[in-house]
Amino acid sequence: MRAVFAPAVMPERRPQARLLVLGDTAEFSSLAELPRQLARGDVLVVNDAATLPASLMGTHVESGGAIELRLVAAQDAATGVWQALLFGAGDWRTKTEERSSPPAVAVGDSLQFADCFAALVEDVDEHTPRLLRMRLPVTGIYCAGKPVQYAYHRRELALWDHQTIFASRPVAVEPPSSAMHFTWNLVFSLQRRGVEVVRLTHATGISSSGDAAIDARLPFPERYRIPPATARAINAARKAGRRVIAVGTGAMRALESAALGDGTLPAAGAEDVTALRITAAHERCIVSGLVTGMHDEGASHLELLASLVEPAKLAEAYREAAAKGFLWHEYGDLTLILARPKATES
Amino acid sequence: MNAPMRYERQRVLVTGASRGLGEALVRKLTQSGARVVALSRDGEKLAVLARETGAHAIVADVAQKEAAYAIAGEVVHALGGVDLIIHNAGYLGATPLRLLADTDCEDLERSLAVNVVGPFRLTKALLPSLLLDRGGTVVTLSSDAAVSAYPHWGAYSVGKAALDHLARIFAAELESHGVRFLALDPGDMRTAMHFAAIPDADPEKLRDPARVAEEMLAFLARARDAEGVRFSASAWREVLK
Repeated sequence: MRAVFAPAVMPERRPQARLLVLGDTAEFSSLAELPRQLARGDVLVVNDAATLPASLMGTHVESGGAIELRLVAAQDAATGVWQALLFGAGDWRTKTEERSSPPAVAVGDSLQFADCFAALVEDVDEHTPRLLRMRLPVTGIYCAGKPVQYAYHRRELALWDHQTIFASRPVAVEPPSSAMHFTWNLVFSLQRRGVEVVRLTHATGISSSGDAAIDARLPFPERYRIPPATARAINAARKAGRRVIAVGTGAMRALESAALGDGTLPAAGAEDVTALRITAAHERCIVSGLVTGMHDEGASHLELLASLVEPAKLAEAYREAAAKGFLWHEYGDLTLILARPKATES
Repeated sequence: MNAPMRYERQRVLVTGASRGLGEALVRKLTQSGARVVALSRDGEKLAVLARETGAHAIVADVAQKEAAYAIAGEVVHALGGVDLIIHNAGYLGATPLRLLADTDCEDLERSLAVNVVGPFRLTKALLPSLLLDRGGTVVTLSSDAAVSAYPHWGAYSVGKAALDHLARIFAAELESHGVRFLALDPGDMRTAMHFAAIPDADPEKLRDPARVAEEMLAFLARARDAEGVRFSASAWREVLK
């Protein structure tokens, strides 16, 4: 049976968003009650990625054809090398399958983005000629880019709609939406409770391109950075038997990717690219809990959740949550999963 | 005065950087080893300043709502974070200065946009860098017009009074989380803004912005010794004695 999962259609921050708490039992609470669910010494790891305006309208100089370039993933933050997807004329209002195909683009061709900047195509994917590699300056992206839109929202999203309160490093192309309803008031009350709040950066990539061939290859490798102070806090917590709770699946993937064989993080922190796909079979090293959105069936996120909770238990809780009016998707309600400590965890 | 200042590798944002005190702050900070983002609407002057000082230039208007997250993103991209924000950009109001009774609504709105809402928005957009990192300092520029009710200075005064209070409220909420807020009155300076307000002002009686920048940075380096949020032009200089 397929449950009806209603999307949140108003892109609004809701500090009172509902929170499905999955531990030994299922509890239906609210985000404002999160401090009560956590204990002194727990470490909450947030993603400080800021979301870029990832849709760039421009012109293919050689053909004169109108294009949209959609950022997919930052390949190298230092040099500004991006993987990006080319669309033909039109924008997010046009259904993906109804959009005209983009002009054929070759290595060395030039794309001009209004008065902001021009960039050369450095590589064209051999399987998907719409997938390009280009050098795009951050200033240029902010100048020419528009925030990515979701068809089910009742109004057009502005750049600030895409930022969480933690938004700092401009590397994400979609918002790390698990923290969308967080407020500083909540963070401070967590801290008063004795919960340690630390940061990492995970460059959230696109979740869907509208192209089946490309979507089958998702998620593309994503960059992450774990500062030394965060690594030290997490190692100390784990040594003392305290819990590490990731806010967002991206934060969880970064932490599990950086884990060393002995279940610690490198003391100097980590900066790398990860293509780690977390599934039920994954041996969790660092993370013992996760705050995340409400995910659709079939999404790779659900696969990841199976590493923390039995899929049947999650499915039942989701059905109950849907019946209680929980909202799905970006700006939807949230789930806190607290996994049982593994036998190997002391 | 050549006191050593602790600005080596400090990451600083200065708004209103193309002239006057802002420009002087950028020059002193870069000389002291700070990594600086200089922000102004004036792209040409900013380009020269960036070339001469090595500061990173951002051409933007702090009053523009759409610009806030782009500015914050560029600052963090350029510096990796931020330790000190100096909200120096200000708007005097239409000149010649006029009675509040003769002030256009739009002009008062512009004052609030530049002097209050812009710094609020930019502070907010950069807060994660301050609150999740090692703390930091946010400086707003005050004026005696923020305290005294001088006729003809209405649009500016209202904006500056509100900005002082913005700093006070932020301080009350965030100082226990490691972020210091300071509202500093630099005093009357030999700047284009001052002559726009008082065309026949005697230059000899006005402070040199380069000297004020130096004093202000010396104060900020020792601000731990000073309690409070708002400091009059003489109060913060007391700390330097």
